[in-house]
Amino acid sequence: MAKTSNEVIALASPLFLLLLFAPPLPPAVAKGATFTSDEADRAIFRFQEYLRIDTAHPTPDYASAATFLRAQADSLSLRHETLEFVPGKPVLLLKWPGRRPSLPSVLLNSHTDVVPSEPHKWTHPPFSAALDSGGNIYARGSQDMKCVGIQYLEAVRRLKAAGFAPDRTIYLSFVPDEEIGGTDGAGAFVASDAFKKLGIGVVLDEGLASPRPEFRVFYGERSPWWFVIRSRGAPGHGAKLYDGTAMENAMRSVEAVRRFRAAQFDLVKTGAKAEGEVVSVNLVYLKAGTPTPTGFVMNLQPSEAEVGLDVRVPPNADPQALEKRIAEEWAPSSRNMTYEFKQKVSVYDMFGKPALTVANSSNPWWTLLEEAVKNAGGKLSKPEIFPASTDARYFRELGIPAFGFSPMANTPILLHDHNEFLNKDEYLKGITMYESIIKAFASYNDKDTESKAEL
Amino acid sequence: MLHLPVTVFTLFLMLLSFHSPSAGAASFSQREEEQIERFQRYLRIRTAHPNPDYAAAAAFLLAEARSIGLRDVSLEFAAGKPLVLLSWIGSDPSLPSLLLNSHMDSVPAEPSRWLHPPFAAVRDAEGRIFARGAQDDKCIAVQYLEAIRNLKASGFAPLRSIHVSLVPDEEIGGDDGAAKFSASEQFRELNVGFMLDEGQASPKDEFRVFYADRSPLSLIVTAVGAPGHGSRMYDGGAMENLMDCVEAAAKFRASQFDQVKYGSKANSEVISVNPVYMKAGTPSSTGFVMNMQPSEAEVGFDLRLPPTADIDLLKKRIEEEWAPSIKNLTYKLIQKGPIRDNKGRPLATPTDESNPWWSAFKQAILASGGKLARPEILSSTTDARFMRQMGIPTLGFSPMKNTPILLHDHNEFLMDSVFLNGIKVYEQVISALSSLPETSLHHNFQYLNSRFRKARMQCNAAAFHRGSLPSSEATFMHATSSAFTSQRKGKSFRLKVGEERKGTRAIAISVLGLMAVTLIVLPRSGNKYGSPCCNTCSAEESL
Repeated sequence: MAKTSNEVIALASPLFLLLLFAPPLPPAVAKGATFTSDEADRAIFRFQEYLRIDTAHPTPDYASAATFLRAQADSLSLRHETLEFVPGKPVLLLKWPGRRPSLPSVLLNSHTDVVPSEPHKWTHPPFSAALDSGGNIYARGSQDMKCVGIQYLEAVRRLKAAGFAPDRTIYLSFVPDEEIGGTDGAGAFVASDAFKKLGIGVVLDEGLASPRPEFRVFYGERSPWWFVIRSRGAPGHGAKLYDGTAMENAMRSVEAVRRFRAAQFDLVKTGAKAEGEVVSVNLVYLKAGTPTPTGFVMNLQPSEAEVGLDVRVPPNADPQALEKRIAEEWAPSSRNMTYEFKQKVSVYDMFGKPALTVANSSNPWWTLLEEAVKNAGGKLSKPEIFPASTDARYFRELGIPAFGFSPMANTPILLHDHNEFLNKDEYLKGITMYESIIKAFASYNDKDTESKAEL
Repeated sequence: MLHLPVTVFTLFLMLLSFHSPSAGAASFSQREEEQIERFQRYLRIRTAHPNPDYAAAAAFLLAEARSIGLRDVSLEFAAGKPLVLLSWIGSDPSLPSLLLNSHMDSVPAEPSRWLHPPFAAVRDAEGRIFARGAQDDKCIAVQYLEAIRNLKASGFAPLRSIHVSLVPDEEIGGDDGAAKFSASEQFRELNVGFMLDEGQASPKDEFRVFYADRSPLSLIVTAVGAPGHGSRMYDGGAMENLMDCVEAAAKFRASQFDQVKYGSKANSEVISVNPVYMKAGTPSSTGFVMNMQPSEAEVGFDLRLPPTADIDLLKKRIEEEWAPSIKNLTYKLIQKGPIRDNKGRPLATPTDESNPWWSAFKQAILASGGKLARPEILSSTTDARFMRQMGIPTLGFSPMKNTPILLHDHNEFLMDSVFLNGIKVYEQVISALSSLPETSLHHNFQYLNSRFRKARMQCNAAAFHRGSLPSSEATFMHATSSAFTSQRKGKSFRLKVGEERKGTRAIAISVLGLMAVTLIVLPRSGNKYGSPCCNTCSAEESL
């Protein structure tokens, strides 16, 4: 009996669906197999375009970056909004509305600014985005983190081209100033009413390159405590030996600091703890002496000395104990010393708990992330604490789950360094990772969460 | 009515207690008051760095010199920095002369920390004269002149010429002052045999005297290392290496300071190493970048070496322990003046019977009724080093007894009676030293000394200009060899003895004997002798 067209469709649909939703071929089969050579070239070109915009501090060209990104948004038919919480520092917000907008939305965050570079120490100019014979793209920001920003957009492009329709609304935020603490960028954004209205349920932000085949993923970060310890003492003639000079005082503190630092560093060196699990302490500046036009006064012992410290506190550390140590051992008032915080980020979120995102199967977002990466042919390492700071802390502070993830495997860690680069194939592979993750996140329907305003 | 005498008596007692003495506990003569007034006038001239009023100081001093009847000349080795040179020619001007040195400049003062303005020269009820420079060292300049004035008035006539030099810039190292002066032709012509320069106050009832300074050096250590993110701990960073250096130096400092604390050495007998500045970090608009570990860090030290310290040993310690290159540390050790004299000897003046100048000085102090403490090394540095470098015996001496040490401090003062007594002391000292007969010195050695002195000066001139190292060596060698030659050829030379003619034969024998000794001994110490002034300005230490 001849089948009716309906029957044909009915029979064929599962097959069709199967084909439609068939997982992509694992990348081991052929590099960039999911990209045509033309698609690859264009995706790479757009990456290079973004890289060439000089968004380095102290004068990042945010305007040009915003113009470029808006053009990208337009080409993707994404609605966009430019929020300027601080004049000259735009936050660009792109929106891909979901079919079920009441569900908590997905936020893909990235920063547009980059740190400065010393061009004479680079083999290719830091804003050239030069592509060498090995396929490496050299530019400041190629790892940190213009790659991610563009990869989000490229993933959206490919998902749209494939006809994907998200259930959850997907937002892309491009923020300024992350490299200088994010106060006028992500900080201002997260504190705003505009942000609250977005109903964000999960955030992706930057991670780090992985020299190994596995990607790295971060579920928390260390809080920066930047402070200055100041010592005082009687000034005196350079020839005079006496006790209690400001310098002597400062050095006693430095000695205590160094001993603590060595103990923490030893834990990492011996493998007892990961980098992000110890308190790091580093001296970042020294200031003492009376300046002259040609140098310093050489026969006068100064009455004041200053030491600047960059300390990073892991989420599960005891901040009270650390502050006690600072007050009693590193800058005790008994030795006429004072300390002053330049920045002190709390390890706790607004609920008083360590600002961490759960990275195990009890958190569905984690499971989705892990599986999405696997489905795309990648693998995640054990989740880590980010050793430094990213904008993710602003989200975690509100209790919003956030993962730090930059799909760069088999890549040396070169953020902030000379000759920062990303291989074009890693870049393309990363796009496919994001396709998989965004799809998983934005399709996630948990009946229990429907009624919750924020997950 | 019975109470009236009591009341009157009480009132009388009260009046007595409220009566302020017009000037100090003692009352002074008209002449003494004038001397004090001249002292105050000099103190009121604003001679503090960074802009000392040298013109006014020089004008004052020249006016005083003229009123005394001294020959005067104003030299200028650097624009705007006059050096006043006053002279009282002796009856035998060919003899080595006496030089009395003092500096015109002062360190700054913070008026808010003083009871009386630092340039007001207020003389309080107790007779204390408060001013910056009251101890360091305007007192001695006025005392020199007043002593000379008194000696002239009394009819005294010195055998040797007496010169008074008032120099600029001592407080900032003396490069444009005593350094250039000592290297100059004008200085050479003075033929200085002995010099007095500033000393220091003594809280006890005895005068202090200094036979050496400590030599000042600057040590700058620079560390380089990989820069890094503030959150990343790694080894071998610049800061870490620099802190190792500072810690090592601090340990050495403690070992030296402990000897002082324990009482085994005086302050001036140890090597002091004091950090004076530290510099590291990337400046930002709000201070410093807080999340970057710098790739460079620097520390500066003030070092003082007592005369017998071994600088080579110190350099070894610096190279191996404080700033080893293996830790990416480099250092600059900057000598801020001579370390050894032109014969490679420690910069120290003998204070025993071998030095007739010392004996005469000591006697004169006693004759003035004063007590002299054991000779010391000065903890800091004065211009004396430039003259000691040339082999000229020099003592640091300021007649301030029962006086707290307040140089460079707030409320620096000198008691009027102490000031006046100091003039009397100088009268004794100046008359004794300027009358020292030539026979009491080893006159042969003295003559040889003066021949060699010429050679030394030529060498030093070049050395102090810190440039022509090879040519200064050559100059010295040439001068030395010509001196040798003239002796060997037995050329007749006139004994520069005064009128002494007795025992000529004995003299001749001792001259020949001394020549023989000289010829035998000196060439042996060839290396050291060949490059004495080059000791003090090694190229490797130049910056």
